[in-house]
Amino acid sequence: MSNEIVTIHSNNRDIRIPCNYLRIHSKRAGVPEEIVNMCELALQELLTNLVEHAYAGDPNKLIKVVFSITPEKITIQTYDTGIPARVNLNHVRMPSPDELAEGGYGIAIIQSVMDEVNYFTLNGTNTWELVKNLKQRIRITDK
Amino acid sequence: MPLEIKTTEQIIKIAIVTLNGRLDAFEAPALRKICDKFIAEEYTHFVFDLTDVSMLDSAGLAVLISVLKRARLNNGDVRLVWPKADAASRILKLTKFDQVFVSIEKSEIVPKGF
Repeated sequence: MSNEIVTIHSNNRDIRIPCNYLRIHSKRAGVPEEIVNMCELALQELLTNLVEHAYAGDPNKLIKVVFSITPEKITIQTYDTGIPARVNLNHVRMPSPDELAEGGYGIAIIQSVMDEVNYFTLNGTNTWELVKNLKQRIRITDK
Repeated sequence: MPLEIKTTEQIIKIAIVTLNGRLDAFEAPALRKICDKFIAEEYTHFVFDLTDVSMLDSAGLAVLISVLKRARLNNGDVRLVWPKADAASRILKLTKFDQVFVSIEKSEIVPKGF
């Protein structure tokens, strides 16, 4: 599969479009269901964060999502022009369940299900890159 | 001496909420609104039947946590019927909320013996 691009408006309804796209194309490519679920959860959490924090709920902004599925890994990149994230990816922790916190799980969940999580901002564009390595190579059938 | 009979009545209001589909950031506000209404009507105990929830994200989880907190403040509690789908149960395990919410079987939702 070459790079595939899905661009959405920044609202919680449209988040489902790239999530469904990822699910359909990953399954068609032979990615195991468990891996698909993890990648979809990570993408859902990331896009929810972008809608809520980067664009502060403005539904008219755009988020570009780029997918790449190879026999070795799944790579998801998002591009937005919202408020840069103020996060140190080396110091993210999952809130303790005893705290009964109603937020603050997103990045920690993403890190726990993906193998690589990278973020940088350059010239007004924020880029997130999520990578999931495939332990067993898949034979790409979706061309 | 005549039989002394004392009776007490205890009414516990239990809301049973059955969900089918994605419980994500888009759907979470609708669920929160329904739960707010139950709490305003003094429901203290909640059962969320997640059997057929296909996907659960942190926004959906936040609603369940919010209800749990408010139920406990009113001496109530929340029970979950565990989702069948891995895409829904995964987040409960990742966040360790599988150790916070008490899970019940679907057959336990309605008390037997009546």
